[in-house]
Amino acid sequence: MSRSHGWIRHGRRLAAMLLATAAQPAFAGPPYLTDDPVPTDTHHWEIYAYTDDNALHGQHEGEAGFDINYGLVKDVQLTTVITGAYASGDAHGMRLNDTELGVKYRFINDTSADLQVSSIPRWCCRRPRTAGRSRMSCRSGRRRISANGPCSAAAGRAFDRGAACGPRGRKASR
Amino acid sequence: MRTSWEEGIALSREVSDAVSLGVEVEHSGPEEDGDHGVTTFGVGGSVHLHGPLSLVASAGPTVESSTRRTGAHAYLGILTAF
Repeated sequence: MSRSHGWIRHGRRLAAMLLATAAQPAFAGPPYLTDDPVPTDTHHWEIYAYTDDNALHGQHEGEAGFDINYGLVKDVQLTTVITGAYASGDAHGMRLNDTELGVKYRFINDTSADLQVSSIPRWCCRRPRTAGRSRMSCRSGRRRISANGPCSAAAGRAFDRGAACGPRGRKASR
Repeated sequence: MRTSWEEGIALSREVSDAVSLGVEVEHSGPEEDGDHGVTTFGVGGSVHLHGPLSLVASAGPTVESSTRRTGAHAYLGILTAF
């Protein structure tokens, strides 16, 4: 899921297997910013190779990389996101961005009500501007909910506890 | 630094076995003092290409909450599911 670095945050990090398998109903997840609560099928992989761009104030920034998801056990998905980031005016060009690690756990899956709810804590390994060092320095919690009908709906709210993370070399990828 | 919040909602619909389309709105609060919150609107979809491969894409405008200045975002990806 879910943004890049700076004023627009990408929440589309986590899997949306529904977009790939027609047998399943569609919720959200990539390419949407809003995540979905559905974990990857057990012992299956979903890998997004992606790029994005955000323009504001005449400046561009974005990233390109891989969003890798694995269904570990029923209702549990592991995620890592590895990207390179770029920004207008950055003389260094593209550089390795923060690495994300996440676990999606679906704790409500009510098929009769078409309701699913997941919690998706994620951790970022931030890369400070000084080369050669990185540290686990952020933590965010995400909870997603969805329901089916004529259309599928996914909604979520997330927080990022930046203050508890120590020095921030860059803003985190979302 | 401060605790920031994001809220979003996405609606999607499968229009055929291979194609789904959707819309969403998402708001991200400022991450740090002096930052601006951003509201993002988007339309997107996915197309099943062949075997495990699908094309996913979305795009739309963004609005900076306090200044009302606008921008744009775009996303393009290939999903491999197996």
